[in-house]
Amino acid sequence: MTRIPEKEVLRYLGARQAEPPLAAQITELCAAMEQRIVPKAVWREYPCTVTEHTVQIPGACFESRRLALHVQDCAALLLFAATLGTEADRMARMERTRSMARGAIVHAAGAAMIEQYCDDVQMELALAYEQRGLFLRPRYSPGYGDLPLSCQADFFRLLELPKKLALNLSDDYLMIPSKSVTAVIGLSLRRERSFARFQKEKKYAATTLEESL
Amino acid sequence: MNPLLNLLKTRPVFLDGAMGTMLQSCGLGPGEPPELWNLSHPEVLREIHRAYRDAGADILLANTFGANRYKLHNSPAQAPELIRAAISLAKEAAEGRAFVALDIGSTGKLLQPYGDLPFESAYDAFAEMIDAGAAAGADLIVIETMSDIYETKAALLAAKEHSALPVLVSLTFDETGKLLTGADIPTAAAVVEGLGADFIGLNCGLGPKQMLELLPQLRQACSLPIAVSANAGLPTVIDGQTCYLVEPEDFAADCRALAAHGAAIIGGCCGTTPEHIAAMVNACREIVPPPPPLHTRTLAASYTHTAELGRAPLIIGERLNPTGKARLKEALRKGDMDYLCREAIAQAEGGAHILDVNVGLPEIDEPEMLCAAVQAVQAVCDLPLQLDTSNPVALERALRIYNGRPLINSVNGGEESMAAVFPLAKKYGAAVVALTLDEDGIPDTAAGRIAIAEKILNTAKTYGLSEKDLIVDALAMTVSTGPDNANIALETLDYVRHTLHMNTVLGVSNISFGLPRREKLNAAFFTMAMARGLSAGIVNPGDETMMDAYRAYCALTGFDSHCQTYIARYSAQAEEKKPASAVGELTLHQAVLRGLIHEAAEKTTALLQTTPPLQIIDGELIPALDEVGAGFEAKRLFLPQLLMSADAAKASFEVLKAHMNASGTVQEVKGRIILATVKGDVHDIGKNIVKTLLENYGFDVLDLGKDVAPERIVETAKAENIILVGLSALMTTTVPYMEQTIRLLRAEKPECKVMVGGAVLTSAYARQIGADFYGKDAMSTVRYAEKFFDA
Repeated sequence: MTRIPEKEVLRYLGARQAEPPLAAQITELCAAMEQRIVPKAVWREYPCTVTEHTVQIPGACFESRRLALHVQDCAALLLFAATLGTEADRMARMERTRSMARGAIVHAAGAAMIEQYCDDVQMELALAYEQRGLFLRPRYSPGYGDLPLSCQADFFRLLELPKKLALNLSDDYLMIPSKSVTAVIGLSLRRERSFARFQKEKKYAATTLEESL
Repeated sequence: MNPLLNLLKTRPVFLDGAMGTMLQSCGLGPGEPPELWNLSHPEVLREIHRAYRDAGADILLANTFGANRYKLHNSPAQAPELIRAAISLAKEAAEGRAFVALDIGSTGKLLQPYGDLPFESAYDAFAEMIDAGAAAGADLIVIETMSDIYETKAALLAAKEHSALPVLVSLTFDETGKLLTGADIPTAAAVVEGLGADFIGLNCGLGPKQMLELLPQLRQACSLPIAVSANAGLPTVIDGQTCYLVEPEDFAADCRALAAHGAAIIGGCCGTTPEHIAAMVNACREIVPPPPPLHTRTLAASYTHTAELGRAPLIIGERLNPTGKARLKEALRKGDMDYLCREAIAQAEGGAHILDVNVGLPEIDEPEMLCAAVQAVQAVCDLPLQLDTSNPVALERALRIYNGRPLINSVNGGEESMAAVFPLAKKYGAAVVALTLDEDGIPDTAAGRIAIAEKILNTAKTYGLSEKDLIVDALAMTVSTGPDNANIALETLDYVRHTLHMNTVLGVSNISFGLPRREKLNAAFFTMAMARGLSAGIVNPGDETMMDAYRAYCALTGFDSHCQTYIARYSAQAEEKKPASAVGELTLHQAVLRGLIHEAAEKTTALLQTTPPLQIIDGELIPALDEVGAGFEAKRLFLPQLLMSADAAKASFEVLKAHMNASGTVQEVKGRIILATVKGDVHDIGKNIVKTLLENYGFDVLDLGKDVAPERIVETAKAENIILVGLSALMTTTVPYMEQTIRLLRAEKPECKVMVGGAVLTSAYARQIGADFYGKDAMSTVRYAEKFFDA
């Protein structure tokens, strides 16, 4: 089960602290989501060739300087995808119908939950790859920096996301269900700048990718 | 008529193995549509089919799995052309020694309301495949690797309506027995069997060992012959390549176990090869498939789970019915689906198992409205629904678009009613509430009603329906007009349940019509009826007396195992009773400030005793909202507090609205505003927040929803003569649609002003795309609207 960090929920809600009625609603809804939602993930490893502004894998070529910099010393990478599934969207719709506040909480808790789930899965992967002497870089997602959203199509094709996770891509490259993540994870021989190290130093949460570049 | 059924009497029927795996080993590139090879590499296809035929496969799946217009939208060849080629290649290879199946997979798109593909569009795409496949001479249709029950329904309906071929429907479950979109095995089976598939199956996702775990559940859930096509084990990734490592002999041994446990049709999915299939045929050909079990259950299914009648009594929520409900009538006339949804959710929370949906009002287009209501309710609530209409057109349209397997309310003993309803019940697999009345009215004896029940059953049988497809309503008539009315209903339902072996239902509260303190009679009668064999009561789940009776009955009869539900419900209740003074001390103003929904509603009800509604709005609600808004603007309060206060104010407005509807008071509308999230954008949380606030401040909001085309916004503005439009967009990729909408509005409705908002916008950006106002948050939008309409 993925535990939803309530502090993160508050952060996404744009609130510094929760007064009793709000705090109780957050706790109640997070518990319901943890019980009802079963997140799922898929990933696949590819050898990669990195130039100054491209990252090439068999079947796709990502044009992005920032991504290239992020994985510059990696000989292989993972394409990764995860989702909370349709139930998270249904719960958000249901709660929104009941009240705006509850809808906003489910929305925020979903964002916190998918990030936490990605972290959990990635930590397991990091431990497994460490056995092989490889270190996982933090996740780098389409739409971030200069990696265009349109490369979502490559993720969908290569990871067979409609089939494996029932994920959909709209014509404008939005993912459905909405609480979903795709990312490139570099596999490096060097421990520096690794995902696991960032996780250890809590102040560098996965979202502070900016500073790692 | 179905030669496969004949074969199954003596041995399993064998499907072929993987196609994708074989094509990849012949050089198919990653992500390349395999169906294109039907034209570019026909010899490879013939070879693969021949290898499977020689391995002993009885059925060859033509290479058409992804040959639909959505998966091929960028491809040089069209679906029908690729399908014709595929069928003909498979037939050439079969040489009359194997059947050829049109193979149908998912469109790769999620259907509405989760995704963006309308149900009827999915249906059309499948129909196109089926027309081409049937014309090319396919012997059967295999719909496989489906992970969404709604899309499966679209494909199966298309198969039944566009061909007379046998249909196998095969689904992909995870190891816990759930589809990716949430349906469990009994639910998927209920839908597939209800819609008339000939065979049901499991394929892909799992290896044969995991399939063996799921197989008993599927046999428990349906009466169709079962097909199983497992992968060659669970996937392992080696050097970036997905590999399946179970060897042919091991695969065959597992398949033998599957066949022995009831897999009548058996084959291979990802990673299997002709060697796997040959070994499988060898291992299984001596086994005589056990016949499928015959189930006679009365089921109602949503898209996630199934309710079964005839075990513990069920609660069918009656609140979605406009009869006698002014507020619901108003909501229906205005198309206010949020109100319906709130009622649905409240009933689910109250403990309903199934919801009745009736939208019949003389002045509305019932087919249109029933479909809209079903879709809206299903988007937020996962209970099975009972479609309640006397309009056959509305009924059929709702049966089509319903996600799952619904109930129908109702048929009666009249010839006309039965002729209209039974064909639909048969086609869509929906059990029907059967009213024990006919052209001559309602019999005033139990014998008379039982005779009608028998007549309905006999007629139903001529349509291929049976006892399990009927739920007999013994008709509760008020005891105020006939002292024997309760007894007549009880005797009827007892006989129907225990002698005719059909399930029963009652609209329980009719028993007390015209009498005081109706809840007392209703609860007692409900208990009596359950004791006599009532399968389901159509009641108000918000009626605590009724639900108390229900929970007590279940605890007393052992349906509530170890009284768990009873204890969970009532053990904490004694302490929970809030001191009444707490509400008394709060003012409405304070309740709104603190975001206390229930207190705000209660306080409003209390205030209405002494204060006119408009004075409550101007004297209490608006000042409270202003105070919260000011706190938010000064950053003393944050979004969640603003929302909670808005919710509390909304609850108060609901009470006021009900009161004003009843008394004929009209609240002055400050102005009418269109809100929409622009085309391409599905993020509507911001827009919804703005809507709630605007409504609280007395504006009439026409909410066009999300992903709204510019043309629709402009047409609505013109038709409704609206001069203020609010547009929202969250993504940089969709802002161009915002600009386009503004341009179109300028050209076609120049007096109209446009306010815009959304995460990616700035005031400079808003100016650049020609907006009149940039709302940095919801409050600023309210302020602008107030100024705009005051001017």
